[in-house]
Amino acid sequence: MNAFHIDQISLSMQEIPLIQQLSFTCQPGEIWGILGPNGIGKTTLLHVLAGLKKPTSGRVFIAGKNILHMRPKERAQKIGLLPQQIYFPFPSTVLETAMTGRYPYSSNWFSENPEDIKIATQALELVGLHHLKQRPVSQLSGGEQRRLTLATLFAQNPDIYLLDEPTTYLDLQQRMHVLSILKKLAKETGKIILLVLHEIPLIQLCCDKVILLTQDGNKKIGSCSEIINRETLGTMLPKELLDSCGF
Amino acid sequence: MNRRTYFSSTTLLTFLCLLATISIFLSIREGSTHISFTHFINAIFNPQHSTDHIIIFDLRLPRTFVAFTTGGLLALAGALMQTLLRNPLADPYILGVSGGAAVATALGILLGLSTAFLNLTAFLGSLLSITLVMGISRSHKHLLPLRLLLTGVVVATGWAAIMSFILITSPDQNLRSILFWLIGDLSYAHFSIWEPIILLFGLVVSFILAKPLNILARGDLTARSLGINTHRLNLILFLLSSLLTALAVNMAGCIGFVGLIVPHMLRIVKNSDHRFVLPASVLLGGSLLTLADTLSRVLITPAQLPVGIVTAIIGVPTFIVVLQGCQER
Repeated sequence: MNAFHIDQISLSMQEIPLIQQLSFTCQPGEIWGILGPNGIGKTTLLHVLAGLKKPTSGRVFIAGKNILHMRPKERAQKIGLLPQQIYFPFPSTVLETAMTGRYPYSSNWFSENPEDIKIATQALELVGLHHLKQRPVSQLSGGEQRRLTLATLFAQNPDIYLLDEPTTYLDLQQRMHVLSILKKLAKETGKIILLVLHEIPLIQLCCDKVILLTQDGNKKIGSCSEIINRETLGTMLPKELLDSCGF
Repeated sequence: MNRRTYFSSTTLLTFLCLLATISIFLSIREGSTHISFTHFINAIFNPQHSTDHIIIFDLRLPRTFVAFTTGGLLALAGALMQTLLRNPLADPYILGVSGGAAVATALGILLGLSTAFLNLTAFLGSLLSITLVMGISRSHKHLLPLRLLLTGVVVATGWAAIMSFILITSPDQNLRSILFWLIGDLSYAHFSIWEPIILLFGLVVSFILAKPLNILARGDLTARSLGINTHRLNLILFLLSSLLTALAVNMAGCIGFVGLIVPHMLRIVKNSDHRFVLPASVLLGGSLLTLADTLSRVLITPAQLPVGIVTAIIGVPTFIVVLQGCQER
């Protein structure tokens, strides 16, 4: 496993500057939370980190290698993204969908590798969907579709997981379950995990480091306890909410 | 959709090959002139130039091949366009791509261009049309499914109006019939070897790309994060589906719905895997149009119906069923 190094990234959306000069380094086994109000550029940041979008300036490295210089399949073996919104325009089954996660590794054109089927099935077991393997995706609930997308990402098995609001549509139990899977992945296999999350209690539960992006263009990076406290969050959250969170 | 068949892709493809053979056989067997079975067998195996022989080999056989090729072209173009636009309702006819090719061809005929150049102008016409539809319907970089369809329908209507204008104002007798341009008709078709070759070429190219196409069908973002060069793949789909549409329009005018219903039926029966859908689309599309053409020749003998009427009668209800299914999701 290798470090994920972000060097002086600046982003803009349709020429409006969003995040300026952001630098940080994630070490293997770390979980990072990205916190900030809507429209601040969190999703765009994840897309840049995944190599899907060019930043206005700055670079992203894995083990010293610029991700924009990697071949697409090679990059997909290293970085995986859980998009915020997903849709399934064409009919397919749960297992077929989970199998798409194995594409970066596929070499055989004609048949599916039994090993890949095994990995995809295990990923479905992990999120508790294996009993729906042959079910058409269109018949799943919103939460189940979200878990299926997570399973596809687990099947992809990248070194770096970028998750854009992974807990959306999930019930409380499933939220905790997903976070515990991610924690296990980080601690036991040394994966790097970056989450965009809006629920502060969940960030406190699982993140080692937090990046706080505020409306005025400032950013704070630090350990969870350094960021998740009354002084720092006071800049972005109303007082009543902080009170109710017990700060 | 949960009652999918468990027949393997190979079994289904074999069945479709059989269907193709049957449709071709029926198409050369049936027609406005009744040929008894003994005469039919005689005409096929005795190469003496009887009337029956001429009817079968000089009239029906070329037309059958044109029908099959056109059906294959349209179905493959439809399947590729649906993946390009991530929309199961995309179809060259509905989105006005055929209309763009038709107008360009008609203008080419008025300018006195040769057949090869007509194919080129048709290609440019379909490229222009699909660019127009994609450009107008794209808002904030997302292709909204219904907006896309609506744009396509509007563009198609625009092309039909321009086509009617050209036909009404031009005294040129070479311009074929209004039915040819607006609804599709195989009676002007001339068999040439190039269309089947290009169909085969399109099938081979897209078949090689079948696995990346399966991922692309999940959406641009997902595909890119799984290691697909979506720009290149989209461009290939864009060019290929336009080329196939242009050839089909040049042979038979604007035939609708084959590109819509064929890939859709296949996805329901088996799955959305392009390794199955693409070759199966060519076989089923070819067979369906050949059968539709046979019907159009025998339904009101001795007169002929334009084949587009038959496909529209089958296609419109199917489209509604598909649309209904899409809304349920």
